[in-house]
Amino acid sequence: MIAFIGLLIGILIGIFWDVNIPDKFSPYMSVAILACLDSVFGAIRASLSKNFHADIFISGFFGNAALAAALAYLGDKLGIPIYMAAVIVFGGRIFDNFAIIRRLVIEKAKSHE
Amino acid sequence: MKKYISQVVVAVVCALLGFLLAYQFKLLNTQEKRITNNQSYNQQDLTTEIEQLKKEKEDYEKKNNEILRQLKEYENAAASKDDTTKELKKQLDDTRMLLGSVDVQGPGIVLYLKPKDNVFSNNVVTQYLTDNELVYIVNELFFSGAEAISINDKRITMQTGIKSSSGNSFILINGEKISPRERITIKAIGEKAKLIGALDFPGALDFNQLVYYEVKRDESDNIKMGKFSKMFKYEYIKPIK
Repeated sequence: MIAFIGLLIGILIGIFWDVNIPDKFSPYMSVAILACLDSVFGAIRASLSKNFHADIFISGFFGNAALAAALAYLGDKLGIPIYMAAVIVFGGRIFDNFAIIRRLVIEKAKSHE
Repeated sequence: MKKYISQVVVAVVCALLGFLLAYQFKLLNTQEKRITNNQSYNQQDLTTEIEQLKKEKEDYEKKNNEILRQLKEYENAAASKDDTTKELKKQLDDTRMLLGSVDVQGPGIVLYLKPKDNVFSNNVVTQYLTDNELVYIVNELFFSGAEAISINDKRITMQTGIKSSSGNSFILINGEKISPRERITIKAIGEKAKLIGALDFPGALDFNQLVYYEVKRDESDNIKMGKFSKMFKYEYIKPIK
């Protein structure tokens, strides 16, 4: 739906717009992207179980991204790869959300027959 | 209305995510391209490039010598006209000689520095010469009146820097490498007695790693020394009018 269209538009902008974000931010960008992906999967699951609240989604999106970037930065300064924690947790949550989405979709498909 | 706002906000947020993803991928792709470009320099390419550059350098040196010879001819022709130009030409020639831009000859000494063989003293670890020792010797020679010095046929000029590479695998003089593991020849033109006196002074050559080197000295009445074949740089100094 709209979210998908928004995603496509964003990808197109990313390909064609030559922004110069300073290179030192790029490791933090990766972790932030992971956090955003996790938020999106959570949102998809919430909308499938009719539980979606936009404000929770948005606050989770930006909050998680900011926290993940901050943790990565802190880990850089301290010399501990703290970003690992973000990677493992967000990766785990993406898989969990995906499993729930999968179940919901299959149940919906079954109940439609 | 609220539903629309929330949908729009969700769309905006997804757009942001898409943008971040695309940007990150683009960035990583350009980084990879840059890295793979560098890695295409394997050893064979490097050696062929070095050979090619060496040959170019020789060709340029030959051309340079030829041009200098022609220049000398023109100058001589111009100076044979009258006395003032003769005087100017003489000053020019003298200046060039002192700068190191022409080959010179004269009485002086030749020093040969060779690393001592460890055959007889196995517990003496050979330390190799660094730039400090060479600078020390050059300083001693200049102090004793040397008018021209060359190390391994590289003329020492007032813009010559001597520096060891890190790890001391070679020493750079005038941007060219010499190896401290092989024999180093230092020539100096000046008053023979003073130069010899300075070098024979007890303890003169007991500086740092020089003790690990075998020092042989030859005197001669006709030492020939090549010129400094590169360009002097004077882009920052200007005369005060």
